[in-house]
Amino acid sequence: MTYERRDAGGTWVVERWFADGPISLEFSSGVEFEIAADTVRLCADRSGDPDLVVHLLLDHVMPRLVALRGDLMLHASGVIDPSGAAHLFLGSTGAGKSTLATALSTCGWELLDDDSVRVVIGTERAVAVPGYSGVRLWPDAAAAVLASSGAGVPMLRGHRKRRFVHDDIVDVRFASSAGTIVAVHVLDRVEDGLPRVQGLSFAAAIPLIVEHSFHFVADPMRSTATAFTLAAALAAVCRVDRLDVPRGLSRLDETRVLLEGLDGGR
Amino acid sequence: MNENNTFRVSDRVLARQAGGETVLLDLRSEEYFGLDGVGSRFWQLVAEGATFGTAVDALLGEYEVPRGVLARDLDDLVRSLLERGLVTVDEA
Repeated sequence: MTYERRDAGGTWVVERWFADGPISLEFSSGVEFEIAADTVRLCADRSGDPDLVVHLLLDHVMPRLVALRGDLMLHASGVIDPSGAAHLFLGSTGAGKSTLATALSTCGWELLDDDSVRVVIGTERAVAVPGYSGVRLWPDAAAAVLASSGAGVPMLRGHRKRRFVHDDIVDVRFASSAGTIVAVHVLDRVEDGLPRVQGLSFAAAIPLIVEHSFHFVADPMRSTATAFTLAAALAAVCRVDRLDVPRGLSRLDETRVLLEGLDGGR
Repeated sequence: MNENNTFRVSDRVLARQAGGETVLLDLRSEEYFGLDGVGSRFWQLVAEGATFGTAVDALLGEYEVPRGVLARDLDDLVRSLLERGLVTVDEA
């Protein structure tokens, strides 16, 4: 079975499932991986761009490997608040997931991951597991939220967004253990006003979580059912809300104050 | 709706409940259908095999609502579920 994932620029990755074999990921940039339950193999690199290969491996292949093993993998950033509770931020590209999570992790919170978060769901709670120690930021966001940082490396050749790893960002605190998820916030950028949250119903929450999850299972025919089941299990054990965040990097502290005043739970 | 009707949930439907809500997913169309309050409880009852009339009686014991109003609202709900193919009337 073949599945083509598309964005505004067209097909950017083709996923192929073979009977009794690894799943192939063929990116439009000329990089190909094979992925199985316990292995990832770089099969071809016609891009000549090592930063691109690292980006694809960390941000697109490894999340699929986690999803393949059965956990919910969300395209989200995640942080742990000063009380030890985990908050996840969902949102489309450019919504400010990485910027908000990084900003919070410079003032008493801890960063779980800035782009994809592994969620392990139990019967009464779900926990978010730390990813790798790095963040991906645009230059203006890095300058605004990081008091001191190294130059980082480009996400891929010619791209302005940069990846900052642990030694480059000494003022970011990274989480060293998992945290119980109290809230999933769906980010929505608004032009002005104060940040605010609006709780979402169970029915409204599930499609949003599904939309931002990595659909990647051994049996592609079960992909939709699996995503729904995992999303419902998460939405059943934590608060899900829409978080309106005003534009402007100087407004992030207002969002932090709002989040610290929230009660978790559905 | 006949008081003695029972319903069969389509095998292409997944349902999950939490906090008094039920969400249905039609696996074929990938469309979601949300039920809250009375609708969620009604779904739970008929999915367990209750007849339409039995479900109405049970809900009358849980909600303060005239029987005629409740039966009419649930009749509308069932028709909506039938139109979407989420349930069928069980002829057995």
